[in-house]
Amino acid sequence: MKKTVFSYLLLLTMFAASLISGCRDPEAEKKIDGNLRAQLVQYKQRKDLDKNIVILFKVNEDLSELHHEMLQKNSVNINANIGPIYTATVPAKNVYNLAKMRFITYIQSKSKLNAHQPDSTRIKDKD
Amino acid sequence: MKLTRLQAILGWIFVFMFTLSANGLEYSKLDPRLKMLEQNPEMIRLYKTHQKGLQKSNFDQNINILLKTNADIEYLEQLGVKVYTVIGDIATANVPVSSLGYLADDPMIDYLEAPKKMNLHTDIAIPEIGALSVYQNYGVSGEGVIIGIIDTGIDWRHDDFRNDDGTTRIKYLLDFSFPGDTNGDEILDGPDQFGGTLYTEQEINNALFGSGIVNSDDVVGHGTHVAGVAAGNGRASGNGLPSGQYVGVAPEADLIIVKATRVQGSQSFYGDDYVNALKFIDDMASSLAQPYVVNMSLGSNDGAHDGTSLSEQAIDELVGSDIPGKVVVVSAGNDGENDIHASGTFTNSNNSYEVSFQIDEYDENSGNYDDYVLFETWYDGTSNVSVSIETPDGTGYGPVSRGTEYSRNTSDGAVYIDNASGGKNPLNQDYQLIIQVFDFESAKPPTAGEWKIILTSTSGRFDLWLSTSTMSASLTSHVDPSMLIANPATAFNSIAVGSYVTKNRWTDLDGKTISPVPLPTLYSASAF
Repeated sequence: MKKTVFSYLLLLTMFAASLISGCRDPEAEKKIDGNLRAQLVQYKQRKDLDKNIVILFKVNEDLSELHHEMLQKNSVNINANIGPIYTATVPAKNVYNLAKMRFITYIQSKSKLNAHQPDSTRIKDKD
Repeated sequence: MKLTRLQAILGWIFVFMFTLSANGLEYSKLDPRLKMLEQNPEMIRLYKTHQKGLQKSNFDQNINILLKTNADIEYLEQLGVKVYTVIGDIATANVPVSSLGYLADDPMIDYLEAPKKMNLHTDIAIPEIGALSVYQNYGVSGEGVIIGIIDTGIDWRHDDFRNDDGTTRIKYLLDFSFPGDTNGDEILDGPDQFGGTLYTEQEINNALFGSGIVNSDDVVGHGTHVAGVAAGNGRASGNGLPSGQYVGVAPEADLIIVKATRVQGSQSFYGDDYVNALKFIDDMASSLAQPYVVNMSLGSNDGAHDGTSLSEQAIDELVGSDIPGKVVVVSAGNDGENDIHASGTFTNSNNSYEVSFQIDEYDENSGNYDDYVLFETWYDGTSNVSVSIETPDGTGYGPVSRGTEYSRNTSDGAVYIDNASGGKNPLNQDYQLIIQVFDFESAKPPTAGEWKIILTSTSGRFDLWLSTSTMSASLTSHVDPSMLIANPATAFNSIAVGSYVTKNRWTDLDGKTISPVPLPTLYSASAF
């Protein structure tokens, strides 16, 4: 009897914990790059989850019509692909849905890059 | 009897005056060096000693000059003048030495000037890297090859990117900055590939010859500079330089340009945009059936710096030793002298690292989330690192153990830590730790001063990069000057290019002598 009550309590706690954490799937979490996760936290704080976010994602098989349909349902707008690497925009709230898709193996945010300068320019700048 | 130097000079002046009066030429229209040459054609060898560039023309008895004239090109050609460029009433041209006299006499010509010798960046670099020898020994100069430039755009009117007949060398110009992302939805709003605006070779030629518009330029100049080094043909003669004198590495290559900045005047790029740009160049070069070399002189310090990020993998998908005819070249970076990387190895006896960083005094931006410093740390998949952060007044937050997230809005700014909350990274099997200090509220921006990141573990190595910052910030302890090659030069199949010092003082175009302190040692590696 005590064991059953304990089990129920444990299940209840786990259920509550899963609600609090937004039903996060550890396998999906693993596929999201840390920078993207940090960006999503900020989008959430700013209540901007409906806004688009730029992502790169990698797939483990050629995309079929079904895959494209799944992506479309999540408002994914694909820009380009080089092999299995895709560039796309997607509403921030749907990133976790993408991470749950089996054919997607990793999702990364866009990194910001700066123009590199030759030494002469940098030295002049210092001057 | 020996002549004194003064007597010799007076003698030459006498001869000179006699000659002048004897043939009655308009010597006032010739600059002194041309005057000397007109009178002593055998001195042409001396005159030409500076013309060591990649010369294709036969200059045996011809020289490059600048002309001030209102005559049209046809008129000048009848006089034996080969005109390169006309800007207003100044023309650059190539003429036989024997014609100097009658050109000076011609009423339509106001003045003839010898180009002044000036040294540009490529005067040493081209022979130094062996390009001159490749050009001379193998006769290859880029003909039939596409040079792709992903950068801040190009001055498409520049003569260095035009053929002898004035037509463009640019096959395609794709501009991501026009109209750009007009409504902030991250999607570029142009009509062509990837939301950019595309100009074809024909459209650029139409614009060059006055019957069309190309609404793209390079207000920064970086892309034009890079394109000039890679592929300029030296046709321009600005600043008194003779046409054809200083050229880029592949002066006969065709060009595909992607202006990959989203905003006019910006020098910032995004990882997805350069992947899109690479895809565009790959597609276009394929349609032209030409091999290509793409140059990207840009980078960031995001990522693990080990070639595993998706944007780096995209490069590896495109090029490699088993893929002929495709090359991607990326600059190694500018961070060799910057204190932005720290590293360490944990042991049982050395199980804690206090990595300090300094935020200098700064003027805060007005909004939220616009003052921040972000660190990206990667540690071994066998380690179990926990992390704390300490503000300049010594208040500590954490520890945050592996596999968890932490955020707190403090009076010194908001602190966000994600210590591999998703688990081990599937791309490289290491753990990724993100630490960000930012202004969750504009009234609480990150406090200036010395902060500490305290990392604790008993085994494994960590590498921490100050990857992005809106204010002046630097690491002040455990600084490691290695692993500073920027992403995506770290892609496995890209060619990462560094440089070394071939010149340590020079005169710039304003006539100012640049002599850095301390003086860089010749042939030492540049700060990448």
